[in-house]
Amino acid sequence: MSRTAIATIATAALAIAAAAGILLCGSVDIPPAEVWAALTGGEVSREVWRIIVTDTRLAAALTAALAGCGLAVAGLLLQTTFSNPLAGPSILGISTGASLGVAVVMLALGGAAVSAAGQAAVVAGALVGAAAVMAALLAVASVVRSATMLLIVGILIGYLASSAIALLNFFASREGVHSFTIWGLGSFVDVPMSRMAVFAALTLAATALSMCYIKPLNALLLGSRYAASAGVDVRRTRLGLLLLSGLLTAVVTAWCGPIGFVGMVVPHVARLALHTSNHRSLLPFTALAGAATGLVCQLLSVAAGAGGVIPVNAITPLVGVPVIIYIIVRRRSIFYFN
Amino acid sequence: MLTTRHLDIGYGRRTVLTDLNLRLEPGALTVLIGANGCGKSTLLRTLGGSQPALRGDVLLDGSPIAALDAAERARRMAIVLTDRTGGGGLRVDELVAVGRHRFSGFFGRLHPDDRRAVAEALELVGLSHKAVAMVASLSDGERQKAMIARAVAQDAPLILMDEPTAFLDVSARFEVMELLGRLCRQRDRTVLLSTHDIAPSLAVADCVWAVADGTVSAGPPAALASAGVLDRVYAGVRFDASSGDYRR
Repeated sequence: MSRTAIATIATAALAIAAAAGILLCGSVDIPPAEVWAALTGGEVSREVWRIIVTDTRLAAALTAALAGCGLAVAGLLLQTTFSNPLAGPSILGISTGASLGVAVVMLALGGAAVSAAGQAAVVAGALVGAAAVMAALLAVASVVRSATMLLIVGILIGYLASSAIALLNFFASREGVHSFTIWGLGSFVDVPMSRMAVFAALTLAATALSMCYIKPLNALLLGSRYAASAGVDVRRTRLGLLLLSGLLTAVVTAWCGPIGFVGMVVPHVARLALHTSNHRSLLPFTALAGAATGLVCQLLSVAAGAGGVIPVNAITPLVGVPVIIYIIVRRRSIFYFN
Repeated sequence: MLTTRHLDIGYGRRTVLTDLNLRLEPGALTVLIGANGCGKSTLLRTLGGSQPALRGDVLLDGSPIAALDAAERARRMAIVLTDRTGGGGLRVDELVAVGRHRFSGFFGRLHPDDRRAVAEALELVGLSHKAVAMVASLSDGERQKAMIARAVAQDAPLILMDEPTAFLDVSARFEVMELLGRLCRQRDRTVLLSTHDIAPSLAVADCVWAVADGTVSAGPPAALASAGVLDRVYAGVRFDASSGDYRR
């Protein structure tokens, strides 16, 4: 069996196991048979169990898988577009831009951000914020050629957005600050089943669209000048890739809060697992591995929370930072850097 | 083929070379030589269309290169640069297959023609035995050959190369130059390359573009040597026709 097949089966199994764990674990003990009955529409001894399984746990598992998938794909697109292994939605300031957009909306609406119209406004705010940061990055990228310098500019833009968020918080109402602070901790349990279809449609559509870029992404691995000489319209391709990664980041950030590390780390784990940078297998596998990572993080935040739910952003660095340090330390011996 | 018409090259307000009227001989290997900073790389980038001309035109088969889109350029011209590539995570045959970009399927699927072109290009540069090795595992010389194979697989009649033998050891320098000579004679490609490797390149060159005295003189190596043009290319050295290289 090929390396790709083994890695795919193992990752899918991990994702399924983590999803099962999320459905079975929680503050309320529900017997596995009852969980199964609730999922399949059978007889459940207590109606509240059905609601917990389908509205809370299933929603959390779906959100975690979709958010992980979206962030990981966004991270891979950004890493190849900027030829920078440390690029990712959070480090380039795109998440922070989305956060700023969300902050403006949430703090303006106060406690009203939970309504359906409020939610739509929050997503729109995130999209505008992410798009603004990416427009700034694109403008700088046309002047600054160095990938490292561009990364630093991204980090600086992130600081600017953070400072704007802090100022907004200072002048906002108490309810607004409260809901924004909770949102900022990051969580996969806040997308209700009623909005799942929209969330899934946006994430999956952007992920599917990114698959259309597999061929130019491989050409971009050789650098923009070689890609152009092979016949890639580099400017248009970059714009498309940035729009897709921005859309994925904005959608996930709007509903789940700014989630760190998943976007930067998962593409590296995927390359190391498949032993290739060829996007033909790397991109679909990164989507799967991102979903698995989201599910594992969600399971950890429930299982280790002793009845409560630990914020996801307390878990992702524990998984992500060791991987990043490993990659930086072993940089010389990792095949795809050479 | 490639011609220039009253071409001025440079950056912004700084003009490096003016009023160039050059023409590449089809099927010939042309070597571009000149001192550092004389405008060799600027000329290559302008001819390749990655830098705009200050004045005048670069014509590819009669059309101004600025008017051609990326796909049209890729059909007519392939390039090999000195850029360190980030393709370490690809297999050698996958890297060469990037040259098939304009032929392969939507997701990069290779047709039988593409596979044949990749295999032939690897055969030509002598890397067939490394086809499924990772690019990261190649030596500098092998990597340069793989990049040349990628340009060959692109199936464009013209190949521009910026210092293809930089970073290579002495034997690899001769090997690559001989390979480029074969490319012109056996595969009917037109090659323009810039280099500081005078002896290996003049041994195979059909034509030399020598940048001296603020202009570009073109001609067969022997003609430029006897006209004394080659003596004026670098300061403090003279061209020695018997060894085919420069001496103090």
